Amino acid sequence: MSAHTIPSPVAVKAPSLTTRFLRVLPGVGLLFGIGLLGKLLEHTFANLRVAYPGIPFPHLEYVLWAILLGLAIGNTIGVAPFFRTGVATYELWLKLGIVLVGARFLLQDILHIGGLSLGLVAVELLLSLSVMHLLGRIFRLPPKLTSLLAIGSSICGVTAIMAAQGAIEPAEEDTSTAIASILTLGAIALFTFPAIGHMLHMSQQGYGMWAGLAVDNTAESLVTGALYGEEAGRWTVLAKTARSGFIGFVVLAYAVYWSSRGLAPDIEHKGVFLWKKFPKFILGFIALSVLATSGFFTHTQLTSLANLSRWAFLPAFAGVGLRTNLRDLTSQGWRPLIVGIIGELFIALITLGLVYWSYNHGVAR
Amino acid sequence: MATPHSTQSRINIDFIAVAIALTLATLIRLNILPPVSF
Repeated sequence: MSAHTIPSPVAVKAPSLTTRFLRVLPGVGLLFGIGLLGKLLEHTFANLRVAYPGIPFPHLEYVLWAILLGLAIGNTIGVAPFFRTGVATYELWLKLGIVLVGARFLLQDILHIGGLSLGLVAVELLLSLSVMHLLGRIFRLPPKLTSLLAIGSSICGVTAIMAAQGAIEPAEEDTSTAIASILTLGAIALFTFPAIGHMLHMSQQGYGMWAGLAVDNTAESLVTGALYGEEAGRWTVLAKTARSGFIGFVVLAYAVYWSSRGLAPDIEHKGVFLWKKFPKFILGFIALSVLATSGFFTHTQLTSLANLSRWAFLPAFAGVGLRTNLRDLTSQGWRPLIVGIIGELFIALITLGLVYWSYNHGVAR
Repeated sequence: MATPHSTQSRINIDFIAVAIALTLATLIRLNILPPVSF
């Protein structure tokens, strides 16, 4: 008889709902704590500036405070395992905030500006996919890593990369590298885009559209928009949501391509595939916009919904800071990062040009 | 680096976010939830 025996299966009991709830509480508390501290710092410094006009106290909004505090904690003492499950809920808060923002858009706005964003997204998609593939070839990146970088930079960052992972079956390190590149570039955008927007005196709507079109990962994109102003943040949500709607089509195209080369599984039901990859929170965003447009809510109720979306974004912004690892800037190898930087720079310039052209030729309101 | 989340969990999160948002909107519409300030 072999010395190796197969161990008898041991039933692992799934944690109860209460246990799971208790597990997320510390991290959720940390997210809200950082967000509230950001609000407190904004308020305190605003009061101090009034009380002591001669002293140059920092003039930062809570969004930036939340990110800076998160970055400081995440990159110094780090996030203890006790908090990690709860911190991971930042994505839920982000999506909840996006759905609730739907109540602040009239359907006409979505059709008009959303239509414009769809046109801009289509151009951005074609250009970014082409540029990433060209750069991938020049820098001799593995073809599937190039595909992942192209998908991540053209659609919605990490979500798109993860959606593609099952469909095109890349090497595990390709996925990690692509995610690290996209997150690194998102972190750079947080600090450069608002400065460029101010330098070019961009309007809130124009800047918001640009941030939604050019910054890849949804969380970083929304924060980049919100850092310029609340109105800009609202338009970023619309542009980013329009862009995210394309995720299924792009991933499907890549899945079909890699499958035709015998390097990925076949896609049997394309309609089911598209539905599976479609970000469902967009439906909630549209539903709330339809309700708001039809007069379902009073003005006070709409204000409450808008404030609820701000409350939902508060922990999401803190989460962006907490999970941004500055060490990843150097740890992933230079070639994917160079490809990412050149590609993203190109996409940022092209989308800036597109938005500038749209807003100076009467296409947008 | 961010923990990669699966497509499955993404879908669940989407539905949870929509469900919470619609519940909050209903509570506000029915005036069960008091006016929210920020």
